Order: sequence, then C-alpha cells, then structure tokens
Amino acid sequence: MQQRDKLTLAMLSAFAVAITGFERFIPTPVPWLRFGLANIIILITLILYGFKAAFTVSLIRVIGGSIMTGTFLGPAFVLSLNGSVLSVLSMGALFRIMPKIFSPIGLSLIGALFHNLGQILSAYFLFIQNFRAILVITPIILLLGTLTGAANGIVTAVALERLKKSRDNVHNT
Amino acid sequence: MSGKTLIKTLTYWDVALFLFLLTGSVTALIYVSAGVSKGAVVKIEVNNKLLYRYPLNEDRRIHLEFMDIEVKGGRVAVIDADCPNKLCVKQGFIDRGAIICLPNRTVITVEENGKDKRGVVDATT
Repeated sequence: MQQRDKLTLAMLSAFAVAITGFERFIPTPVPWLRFGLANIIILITLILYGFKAAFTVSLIRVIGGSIMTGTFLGPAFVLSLNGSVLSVLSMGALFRIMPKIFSPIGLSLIGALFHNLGQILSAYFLFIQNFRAILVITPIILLLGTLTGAANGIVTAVALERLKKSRDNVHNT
Repeated sequence: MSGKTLIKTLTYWDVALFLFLLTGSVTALIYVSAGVSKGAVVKIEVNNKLLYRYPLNEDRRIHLEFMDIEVKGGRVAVIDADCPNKLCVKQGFIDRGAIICLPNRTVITVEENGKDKRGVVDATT
C-alpha cells in the first residue's frame, strides 16, 4: 500500500467516525432509528479503493465511533460490529461478483439489509431470546433500513459522480 | 448531479430490490401488527427469566435495581434506567408489543390474557 493510499484511508476513516458521532444528535421519531450515514463513506471506499480498504474503514468506524459514544465493548458495540461486518461483507461480495447489476443505490440497500439482519440475529442469539419481542420489531427495522439505505445510496451516487468530475478536472489541467 | 443522471445510474435490479424490500417489510409489518393486539398482562423478563407478571389494568410502580417501570392507565413504560442511551425510556408508554433494553437484557412485553397468539411457551405454565 502506498503512502498516499494510507493517508486516503485515514481520512475516509476519520470522516466515517465523525459522521457516526454527529449522527447521534439528529433527532429521530423512533428512538432506535439510525440513518447509517457512515455507510456512504464505506460505499465510496468500496467502489473507489476496493474491499480491503472498505473493511478497514468500517472496522475503524465501529471501534472509533463506539469509543466516541461510550459504548465500546458493550452490547451496542457487539451489535454494531456484527452488523457492520456483515454489511461490508455483503456489499463487497456483491460488488466483486456482480459489479454491473447494482448501482451504489442497490449496494446500499443490500448493506442496510445485512446490517439490520446482523444486528437482529446477534440481539436474539447473544442477548434476548424472546422470539415474540424480536418478531415485533424486525419488520419496522427492515422497513426503516430500506428507506435510509435508499437515501444513503442516492447520496453515494451523487458524491461518486462529483468525485469523478473533480478527478477528471485534475487530470485535464 | 441532476435527477436525469441519477436515473441513468439506477439499474433495473436496484428498483426491483427496493420494491422487493419495501413490499416485504410492509407486508411483514402488517402481518405482525395484526397479531399484536392490545394486551392485558405485562411480563417483565431479565436475562431471559420471567421476573414479574402483572395485570395491565392495575396501576403500580415496579422498581428493579437498574430500572423503574410504571404501569398506568392500561399502559406500561420504563420511566428511568441506568443505561447510556435510554432508548427504553424514550419509547414511552405502550399498550401492545414490547420494550427491549439490551444493556440490562430486559424485555417488557404486553400480552393478551394468559395465551400468547404466536405460541411461545409461557415460562410460568
């Protein structure tokens, strides 16, 4: 890995951690609704720098974000870690195997879905074996995840387009 | 980027996936909420063990070492907890469904009298 790439990864990680920190202050109608805005950064990293880079940024985000919010190694951290790993794995696999089928928007939807599934499954198996309680909240979480995933995907597509343009400009001058 | 280029970026699979997830989760939501009707009994479970079971129509306060729960007017709420983000408190009063507190491994469920529609075995029977 070149020095410049390392710097880029460090910067992307810093963005992701910062977004995770700020996201907590956005008021939401449902208490446990999170927008998952950091996934925008993870997706951009995946598409521009590949899976390894995205995985690294994602891990740094989970650990850095949890230290910032004071949940490091707590239950929320375990859920966040499992969700994020599953999410980046699913997006990475899809992007590698079938890069042309989905745009960033589809990738974002898949990422959001697997993030939520990872969280729900680990909540059930590690913490709360109450099938009924999990069953009640699952559809709401998946629905909200689909909506936020689509929104994040659109932002990612716009950001990538802009990045491409500014890169072209740099090459032309 | 304008709306036009955004539409160009979208693939058919994106749209299909979005519609699939949307209809799937909405259907599941309707199905589940039809099964979750207004309850009569509140159950408090900690560490997957049933601790308390009270009728919902008697007002009372339940004090656990990490959490205060209030039953009032046929509804139940967590009014205070020692967890960092207090999601359980923010959920407010409920008369159906469940409040889940992950840090304390506590589940408060409101159920119909005795019988559980989804066939989960009751810990007391």
